Amino acid sequence: MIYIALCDDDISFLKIAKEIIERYMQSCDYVCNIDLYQSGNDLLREKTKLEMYDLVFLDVDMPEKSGIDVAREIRNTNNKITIAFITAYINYALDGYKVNAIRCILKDSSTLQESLQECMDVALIQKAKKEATIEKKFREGTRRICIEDIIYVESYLHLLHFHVYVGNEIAQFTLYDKMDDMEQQLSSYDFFRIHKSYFANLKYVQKVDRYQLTTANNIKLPIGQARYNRVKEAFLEYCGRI
Amino acid sequence: MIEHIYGIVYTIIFILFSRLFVSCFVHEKKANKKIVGYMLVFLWMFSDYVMSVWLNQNMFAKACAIVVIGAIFTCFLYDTTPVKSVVLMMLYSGICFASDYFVYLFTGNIITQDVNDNVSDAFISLLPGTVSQIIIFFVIMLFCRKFKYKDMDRVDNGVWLRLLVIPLFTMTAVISILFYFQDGTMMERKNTLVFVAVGMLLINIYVFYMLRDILVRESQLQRDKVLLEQAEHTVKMYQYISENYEKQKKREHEYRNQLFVLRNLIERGECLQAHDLMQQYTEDADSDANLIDTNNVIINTILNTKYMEMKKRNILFIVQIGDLSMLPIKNRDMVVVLTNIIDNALEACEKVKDKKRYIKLKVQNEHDNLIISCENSFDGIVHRNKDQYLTTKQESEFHGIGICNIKEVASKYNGDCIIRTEEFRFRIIVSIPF
Repeated sequence: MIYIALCDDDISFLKIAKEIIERYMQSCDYVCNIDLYQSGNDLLREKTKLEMYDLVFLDVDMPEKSGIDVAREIRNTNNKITIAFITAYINYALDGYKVNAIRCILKDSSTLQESLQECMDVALIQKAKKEATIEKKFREGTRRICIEDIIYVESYLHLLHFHVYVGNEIAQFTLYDKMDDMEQQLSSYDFFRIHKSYFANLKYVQKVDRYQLTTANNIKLPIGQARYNRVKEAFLEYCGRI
Repeated sequence: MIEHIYGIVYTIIFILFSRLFVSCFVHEKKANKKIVGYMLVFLWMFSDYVMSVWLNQNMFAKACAIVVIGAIFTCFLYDTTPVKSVVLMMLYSGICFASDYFVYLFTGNIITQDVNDNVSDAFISLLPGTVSQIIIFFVIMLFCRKFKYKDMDRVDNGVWLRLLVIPLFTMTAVISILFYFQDGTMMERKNTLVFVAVGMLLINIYVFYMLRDILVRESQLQRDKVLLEQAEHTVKMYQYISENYEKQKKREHEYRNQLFVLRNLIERGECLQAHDLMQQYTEDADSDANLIDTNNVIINTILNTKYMEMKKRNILFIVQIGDLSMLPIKNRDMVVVLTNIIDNALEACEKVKDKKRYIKLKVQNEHDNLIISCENSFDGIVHRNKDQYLTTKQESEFHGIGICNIKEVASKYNGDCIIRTEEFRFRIIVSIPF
């Protein structure tokens, strides 16, 4: 079940877009719930509903409040929600605000349907990633953590140390397990074995140097010499995903 | 008599080899005229031979003299400092001594003491000497391959392997001559044998120079091809820009007409008509509009023109761009990379019949790197020749260089380029650091 919000001052466009998305979701056998808003402020007022939405489409050229400002306000409190812009022009300024929009969809009627469908595909993949969790009996207690929140896993003294984002803090959880087994379990996500004892989430990697990797919060992790080339390629592949 | 001849030949070979060796590491002085160069080399050979005859008794002094003379002439002939010259000459002398010693160890066990000391002594040392020369030649060729002709990577390794056959054959031939030397009857033929051995060595050298010229010319040809493609792309780019300019001028002209008509209508109070006309005008404007703006005129031109192209061919185009006014690479190279990537994607999409055709392009600055990433649908068949991507196009010789060009630009700026092919999805990702 995916919760979607469409925000555009042009009501005819809202209707067209809603129809395209509903039809596509039906063909994918996916249930979706779409809410329509004609102004950014209306959307921002519904704070409880905002927590629920998985995906928000924002029109950039709205008279009252531009889609970009709406996006920034949403991002102030919510980093998980997926944002897509709808615009007449693809402008470099849209990227400058760093709101992490997955797509900028052109209001071009000839390609609108395909663009929206493609956007839905990507949004569904993102939703699946956000909801992927793993439950383990850590020494600190049994916990269910979001796989996306794991920054890296370190193997030390036969223990696995998970470094995970909990809210805005980084917490550590320890577990008796083998690195290889963990690697197996997380193999279908964006992780990479950068070192015999380290397993990092490419989402948080910022820089790959010779034999050292920098992640968010300036954490530096070592890279195994023999693995360096593959780490570089994996990181590049991750950066290049569209 | 024959020792003198051999001595001279040996000196000539020694100097040729040391020239080859030194040229692996330093460049020739461009200022020297050809004739001056030849005279210097001749002088070098002359002084070397004189020294080696004069100091024949004292090995150490002879070695020093040769190194010093070599260093002096290297300084004249090459763009290098005296210290470097001395070091290089010492290195080369070291290689010679090592090779001689190795052969001596090997043949010391073979040549028996029964042979007549006086006359044959000289001959006995000639053959192993030749083997030693061939070994040195081998080593120098390896050095050349490693250091001098690095940029001829594109030329197949197979060619080099074929090159190696000749010295290998020569070495085995000369060594087998050495073996037969033990048999007393061969002693009469010693002149011929030595002549044959030395002759083979000289042939080796000649063939080496010849092949080297061929290889150099081939790599030049390749480079020219690449430059030609780049030039074509630049020309295309200028065509795009001038076409755009023409369109812009026309549009301006039309605007003036349209405003004139609208003003008239409004003055006459025909507001409804004016409104309808406005609708029409804005619709027309949309179809020609430049929809993508990256803050970089050249990239805008390319992307917008390609976008129109894709609309015509019914290919879905998804772009993610950022502010590209500051690039870590020259505009010319950006054009090469972008146009090659998009053209490749377009061609691949053309071949997709029954699936959705799409091209996703991302050109953004991320974490101090310029990331250019393109994903497109394709029919699943990629032609590769080891590291090179061959083309599926008709004139395969000329195309397929596109991806080579992209990789070249990437490595030129110390960036990376990777390519991933999955069943129906082709991805190329380039990253260039700031």
